[in-house]
Amino acid sequence: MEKGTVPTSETTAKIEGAIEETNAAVVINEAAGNDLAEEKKAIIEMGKASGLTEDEIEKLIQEGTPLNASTGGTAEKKDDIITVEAEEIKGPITSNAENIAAGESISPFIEPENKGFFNKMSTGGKKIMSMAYEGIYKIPVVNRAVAKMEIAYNQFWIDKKEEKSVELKGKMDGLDIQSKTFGESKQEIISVMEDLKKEGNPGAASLQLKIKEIEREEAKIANKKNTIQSKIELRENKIKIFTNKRDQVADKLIGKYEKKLSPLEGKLENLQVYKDKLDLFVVSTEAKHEEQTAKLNIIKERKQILEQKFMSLGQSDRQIRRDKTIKFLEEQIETGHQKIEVEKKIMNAKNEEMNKKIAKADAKAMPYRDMKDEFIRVKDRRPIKIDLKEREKIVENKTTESTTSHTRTEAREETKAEQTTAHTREPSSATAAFENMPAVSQHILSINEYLKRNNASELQINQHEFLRATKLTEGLHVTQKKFKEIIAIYYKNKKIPESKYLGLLNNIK
Amino acid sequence: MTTNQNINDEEILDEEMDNLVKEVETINKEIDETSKETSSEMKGIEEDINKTIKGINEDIAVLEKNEEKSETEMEELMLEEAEDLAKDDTKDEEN
Repeated sequence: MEKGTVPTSETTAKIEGAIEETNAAVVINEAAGNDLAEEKKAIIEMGKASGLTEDEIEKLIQEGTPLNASTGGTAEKKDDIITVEAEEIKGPITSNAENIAAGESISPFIEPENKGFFNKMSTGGKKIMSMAYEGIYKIPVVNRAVAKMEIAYNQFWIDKKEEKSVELKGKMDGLDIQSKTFGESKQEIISVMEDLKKEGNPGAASLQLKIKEIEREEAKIANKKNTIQSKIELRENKIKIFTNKRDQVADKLIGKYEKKLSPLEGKLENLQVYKDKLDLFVVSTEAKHEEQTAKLNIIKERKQILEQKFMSLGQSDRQIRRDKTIKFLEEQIETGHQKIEVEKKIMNAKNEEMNKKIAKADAKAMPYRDMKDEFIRVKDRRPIKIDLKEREKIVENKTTESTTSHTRTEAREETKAEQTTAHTREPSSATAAFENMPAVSQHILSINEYLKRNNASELQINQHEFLRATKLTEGLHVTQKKFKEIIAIYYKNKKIPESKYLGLLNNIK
Repeated sequence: MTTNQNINDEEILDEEMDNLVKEVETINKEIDETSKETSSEMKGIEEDINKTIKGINEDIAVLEKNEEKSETEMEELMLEEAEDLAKDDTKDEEN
């Protein structure tokens, strides 16, 4: 720019652009949130919670004309936090639509703060709110309790206040951008003004006026930012209160259920002990049946050898088949096999029946055992953390509000799911190689040596104790596979964790 | 000689056959004993299981019966909490 000349069209355009941006920012800034929109959103959510379709909700909103009528009017910006005297929430437990619509009685589960919000709602909205609360009472007991606490008590408002905080944070971010734009425009105008002064050109004074205008807008934005920040901080504190109260209620209920369920839990544990005992007995009996089958097979083989010998002595096949002793022997072998088969069927049927009974009892008890976990889960929902920048420091007020989110130790407790699975065992196979079935005492010796070699002496088996628990005899002949199966269930009975023995047993060759 | 030998052999075989009969009878006795033991042991375990299940059902019945009571208790608990919250708020306002 040459000395004595007027500002170029480029400079003027820059200044005008900056002013335009400033004006636009001011207009946007004026359009702050609308409580009625929030109300409608809340109504829709509560309507959905009570099982209404969107059409039904819309219809009810339409019936409650005040909501629609008022949306066209001026939206008063009111904070939804209204303190209600303690006496107000001592009212009768009703969620009657007419009463609520008439404003006579409000369900005590409507948070006192929300009473104010509730009173601002349209008739249609109140009807839906009432239905939502009635809907909560229709939810099965466990969920109902959780829903009552989560939705009706605190969670709904934690969520709402979080939503509002996020929305306000968005507005605050918008104001930051505007503030930055103002700052940049101001810098540009200053730079142009200095150029004009240096070059001795007129117009610097009028630009100073623009700077003042920008500064005024900057101050307005700073005030708005402060107001929004205060609102966010207030909400964050309220969220913390709601969260703490929600957690306190959850804790009380967790304790309550723990106390109530302790006798049941004890019995369920006993049931598991009996089931383990049953499993051990079944597998031990299977081992006995295997040995008896193997013995019968050996006798059958020996009978066949004797028959061959009789034939070699000149007896005919017919003579041998008609021999009374051989016939009796055959009958005895067949009877033995049949008895074992019948016994197996009876035992398996009984085992299955008992497993079914156990599973049924366990399933029946499950919802009550889940109650505690439901309340623990309630506490898992932590409030979100709004990342607020530090307030702009003003001379008159140097205090900076800091908001920190709650840090609590996780209350998650290990849930013990009782498993009552039916036994799936391979059918016991009769083996003729009886010699390949060592005696129980031999198995115990071998396994104890193996455990010692593998530094697992604590798992070594006391023969006396083992025989007493399994009802087996030391001379019983058992396959290695069956013995490993018995040992695994024996350890389970002794409450030894699977991780300690499963790998070791699987590696036995 | 051969006939005599045959007779002797047959006698030995008959004796072996008799032994086999005795053995199989012993095995069948074992099977019967196992059966008796199984029946008695399973009956005992079943009784324990039934007794425990009965206790569980009784506990559940009590829980079911107290369902409404528990609900009221919970409501009271929550009302109490709400009351405390409102009192806190009032205090905050006053401060």
